[in-house]
Amino acid sequence: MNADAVTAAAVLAGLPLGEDRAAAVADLLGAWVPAANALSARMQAEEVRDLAPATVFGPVVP
Amino acid sequence: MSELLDRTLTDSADLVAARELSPVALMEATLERIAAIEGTHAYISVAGEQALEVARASKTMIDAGHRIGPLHGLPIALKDNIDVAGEVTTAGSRVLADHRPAADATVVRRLRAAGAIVVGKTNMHEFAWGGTSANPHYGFVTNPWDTSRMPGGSSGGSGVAVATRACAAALGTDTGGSVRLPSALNGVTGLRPTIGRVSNAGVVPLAWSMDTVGPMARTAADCALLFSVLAGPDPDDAGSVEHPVADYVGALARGVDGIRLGVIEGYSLHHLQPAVDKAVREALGVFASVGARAVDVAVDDIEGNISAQLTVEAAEPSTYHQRWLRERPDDYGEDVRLLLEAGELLLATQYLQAQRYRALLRRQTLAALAHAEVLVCPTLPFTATPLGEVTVEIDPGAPEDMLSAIMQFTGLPSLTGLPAISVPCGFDPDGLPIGLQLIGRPFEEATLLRAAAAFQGATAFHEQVPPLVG
Repeated sequence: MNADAVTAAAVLAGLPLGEDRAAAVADLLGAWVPAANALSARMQAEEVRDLAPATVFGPVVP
Repeated sequence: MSELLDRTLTDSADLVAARELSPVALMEATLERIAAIEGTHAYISVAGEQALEVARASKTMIDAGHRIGPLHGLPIALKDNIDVAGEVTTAGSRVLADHRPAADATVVRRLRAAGAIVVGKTNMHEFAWGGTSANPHYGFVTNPWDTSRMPGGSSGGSGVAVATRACAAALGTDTGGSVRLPSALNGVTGLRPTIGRVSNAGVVPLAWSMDTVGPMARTAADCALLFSVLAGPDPDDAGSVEHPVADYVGALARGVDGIRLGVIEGYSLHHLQPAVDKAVREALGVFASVGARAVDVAVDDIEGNISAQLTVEAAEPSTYHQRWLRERPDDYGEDVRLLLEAGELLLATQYLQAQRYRALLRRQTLAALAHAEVLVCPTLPFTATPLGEVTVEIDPGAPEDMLSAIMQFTGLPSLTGLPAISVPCGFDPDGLPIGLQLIGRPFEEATLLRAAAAFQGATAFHEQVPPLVG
């Protein structure tokens, strides 16, 4: 993750981001993204294919 | 003054009902205490004369034999992301410095209907997006056990206000731990309810899929009393859930004989500062002495919880703040602005895989809760750090990012929507409080509250007073 990649992504998001801010965001995402991608890889496994995103939890009878 | 304020919410409620405690005297003492702790920056705004006027009316009513409800005449503080009609609700940000909502949040309506008096609005991490309450706009909130240290967050002001007796109890909000973290670091008791159990209507959101309001008080009994008023469905909140409301206060006396406390292998007692490790192990001993027993349980995919929490808790606020971030970026503090910018750049697939992971984690956690009524772990792996720190050492010589470290244990209930409570369970060698987290089955807050009450019946950690006001 580097400032150029962040700047390009910011353009896609329509987010104005100066060079100094792009560098700071790159540092932060550099810490987050590898773990997020590892989690994404885990969730590609066949045994969890049935799971839908848990955006809302309904009531559960214990 | 101290004698009035040292009483618990429950005791004060009983004394007001019996006309042995004047709501006016209690409010006057509370306002004096708020002034005395002003240097902690616990409050953003104080109702002052207005609260005193309501206290006078409360006294008139109770003297005439009319009790509005179980919280009649009691001063309650609100985190400043909870709407009060006509009063500024800043959410700890300059962005909302002039925001005056037209209506009370549902939880405020419920408090007022129970007779409570809003004494003021408490300081917080800006927009609740952080765990230290280092607020660049309204002052860094300081910990009353050591004012050179942070109080946790994001409901840091509520935690400090409860600990210093500058209110009878308070409301916080909890997304990734924001009720439980400041409860632990300030030596008070705080409950994160099951998601959907308490209305979020009229509360400035952080991350919609994890947000909830929760009570913060000195004891589990006080939390039960407050929670009894807050819990229940709300037609104004689409996330609110229809589910029977239990007798939370009545459940307290049932004890924990036979209750199983699940210790999650490789997690509950893993990666802790030594004082925290010692306190949690001793807490398990206390529980054993009152009839509960520890059992080992497994949650195989627990490791992904911090990443999932960061992804969800980054993407959802960045969605809510999209317009303001473009129109008024300089009105945010530097840390929150950076988090919001980063959150915009996460991929939709990363967000949705994190949401799918939540379903997996919930499935595994509910399976663990089939073998234990309650899961147990620390609330945080460390005690309060110096003000302004952005890293923390859990293992000596290995500084870690504060935001990730602070989520180590509170993320599990947040991601799975399960209820959890933090109770004081000890102090480190510097006299800083340590919190124990109990996690329960969906809508089983009563079990958590009675377990916490049983623990507090056998210990005195929750009775200790911070040196700032002791």
